[in-house]
Amino acid sequence: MGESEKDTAALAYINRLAKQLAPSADVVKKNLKRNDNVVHLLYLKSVVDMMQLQEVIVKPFYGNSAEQDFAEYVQSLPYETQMPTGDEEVLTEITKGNVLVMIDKQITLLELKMVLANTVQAAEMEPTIHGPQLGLSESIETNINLIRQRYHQPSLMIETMQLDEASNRTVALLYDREKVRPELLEEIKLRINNLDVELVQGSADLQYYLNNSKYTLLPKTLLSGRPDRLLHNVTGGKVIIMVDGSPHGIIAPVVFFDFMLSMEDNYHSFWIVSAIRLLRYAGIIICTMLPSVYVGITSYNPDIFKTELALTVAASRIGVPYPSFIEVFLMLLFIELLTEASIRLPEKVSSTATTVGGLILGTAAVEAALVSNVMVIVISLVAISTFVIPINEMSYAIRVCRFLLLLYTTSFGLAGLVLGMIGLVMYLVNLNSFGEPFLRVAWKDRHEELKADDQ
Amino acid sequence: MSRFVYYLLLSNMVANILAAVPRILLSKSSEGAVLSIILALIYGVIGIWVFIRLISKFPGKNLPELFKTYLSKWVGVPLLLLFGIVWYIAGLQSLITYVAILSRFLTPEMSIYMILGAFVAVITFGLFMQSRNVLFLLEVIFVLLLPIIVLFLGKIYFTEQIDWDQVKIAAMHINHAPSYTAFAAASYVFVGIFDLIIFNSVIKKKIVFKWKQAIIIFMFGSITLATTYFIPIGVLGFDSIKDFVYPWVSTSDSVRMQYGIVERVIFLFLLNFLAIAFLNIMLHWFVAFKLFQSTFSVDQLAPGTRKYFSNTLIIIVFWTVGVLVTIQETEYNLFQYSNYYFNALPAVSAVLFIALLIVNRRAKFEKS
Repeated sequence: MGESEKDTAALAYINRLAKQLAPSADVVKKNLKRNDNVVHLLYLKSVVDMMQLQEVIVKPFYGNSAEQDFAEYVQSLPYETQMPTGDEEVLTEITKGNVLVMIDKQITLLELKMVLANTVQAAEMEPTIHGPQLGLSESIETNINLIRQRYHQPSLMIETMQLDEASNRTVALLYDREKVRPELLEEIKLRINNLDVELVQGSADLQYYLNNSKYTLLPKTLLSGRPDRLLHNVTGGKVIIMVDGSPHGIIAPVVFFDFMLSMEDNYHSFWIVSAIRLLRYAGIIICTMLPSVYVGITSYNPDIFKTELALTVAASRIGVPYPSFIEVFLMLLFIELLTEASIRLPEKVSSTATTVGGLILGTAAVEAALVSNVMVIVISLVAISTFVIPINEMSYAIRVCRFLLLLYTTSFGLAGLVLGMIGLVMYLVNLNSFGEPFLRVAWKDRHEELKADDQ
Repeated sequence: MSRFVYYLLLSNMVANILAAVPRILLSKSSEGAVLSIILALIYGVIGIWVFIRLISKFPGKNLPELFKTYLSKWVGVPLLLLFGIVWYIAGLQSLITYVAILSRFLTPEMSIYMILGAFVAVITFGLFMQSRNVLFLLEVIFVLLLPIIVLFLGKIYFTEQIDWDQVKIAAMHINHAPSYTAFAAASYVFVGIFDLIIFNSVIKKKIVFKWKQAIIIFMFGSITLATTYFIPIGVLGFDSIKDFVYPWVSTSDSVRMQYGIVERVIFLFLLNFLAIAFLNIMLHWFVAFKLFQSTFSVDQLAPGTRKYFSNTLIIIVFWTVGVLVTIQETEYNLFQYSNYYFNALPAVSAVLFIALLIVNRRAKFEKS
């Protein structure tokens, strides 16, 4: 009598779960029957791999001789996930692609999920010529696999956590146990656990939620889809946060120089890399300062340039009907529109847009004497040097900084340019990413540096 | 010695090449300036040695904390207020000089309020930075700008305009008795190190000051002072040097870069030194701000509206006084008041030394 009571209790349990999932079209509650033996299955057919279910559960059930063996067989399967305690958690597991198997009163969860987004994509966000060409996929298991395959160290730790929001996403923390700072790990975990958001769609928005403040120009973490960049940072003692369903990992903490590093730098010889880096820093300085320098010099201190150059600039501005800062604002706005448009458009149309916008409009504007020739050169130079910055986020931030600096220079002249630039450096220096100062000059290696100021 | 201590020292040295120090020195060029400079060098290094010996016993502690622990409130608070005012004036003096230079040489048509306005936002932001980050900022700016400044100084040392005979004439005036004002002004270039009274709280390692450090500081000091004093004389001539209001601006304007995009070196000079001077102003005011905070126990308040308003009030007072004084000052006044200020500084540093000595003795007494 006791036996059957337990049976009915277990049945009631599975029925209750099924009812909670019920209105959904893809819920399947199935009973497999052979002689007296009954196996109850509960799963969502949209996320479960049918072929595997057939191979792993259904076939052996009808092929086996005794029921007792089958229960043991199910328990010995490598697909088993740990049984959570509450109803709510069990349901979450089922929505993730687990199959609930009940044999008599023994309940097991088997992970037979089907992920269609596990193809590895080309690393399009940060392409390199010499480095690996493939990035991550949109499935977290594949990503962890990719990372593990490139870093064979037992000290590589993978901790999974679950976000407490609508998508109940799995988040994995990857770090090298021997290199990471324990306080850093604590803080990252704390921030992830304290997230108060409705829905996380992927790494990019999680990154902004982790920032802890709404109004910031730069993220305090770095998004990357390149396994080699992720591992480069893991060996530096950083933590990688991966979100299920996103082809990017979040690197925390970051410093300014991480944003100026392209993975290509690791694959070339020393002098070439140094030259390229120099070029890159020249690029970032040019694209921040050049529009402001133009305004400062033409409108405030034309006498800075040597006479010939000053005359050339002045001559090219003959006929331009408004002051230089309006000219610069208009052209900067124009180039920003162009950049924005070519990102959003499909590839085939975007080349037309850039040709029409850049070439035809630019030439026409000069011929109509609406802007000066020198201005067009300045703006093109600015646009090109913006693209030299390897990380997208930094180049967006620089685009915003450019306008702020322009505003400051327009109001205060060249002194404003210098003070505004220092102001930007001050802002960067005063940022910190998970307790790590964002911008600082490091002469010695990391450990020496930490000792030097004993923070 | 942590490299940041050198930065504190250097920021003051470099900034003063353009500010009030050279004019005071050059005005005393036939009244014992050379001997005063030599004395100031010796006094500066010894002063730094004494100061570092006194403060290095307490790594990670700043002056207000030390005063709070070891001195009575009735002595400590007025002293902090005094130092706060002294540091505030140090910043203000640089600020006024730079605003005057900018309005005279870079943007003559701009109103003085606009020029001041360019400083307000950035300096105010700087005052609210963390002490640690202020040091990092110093380093970043130095790494960016020191090469240009060294290039500029090299250029000026090897320019054709410089007449070394004039320098020799100036050096021959060593036989005059030293002048106190020149001595005080020359020793002002070493004052940067005293910013440690606040920044000591972020330098957790014990500061070592031995022969090596003493020689480095002596070298820095003598190069700075020699450049400040002798180069304008070499370029502008010994006899007429006293007539220049801004001898260094005129000196830099006599140098040309024939093949450069910017032909007149003065612009590079002004803008680069503006950046360094800005750092100097910010550093001094930062120290003053912290000192005022502990004088009025604002730092004891829990973070919240009260603290926020108290800090804002201090900033508003800073800028109101700053703007009022800046628009009042004439060039002659500025020169005069700078003289008084520099004259008072050795006495103030003596007060600081005595206070630190008492703190040291009490600390030792408490330990035993």
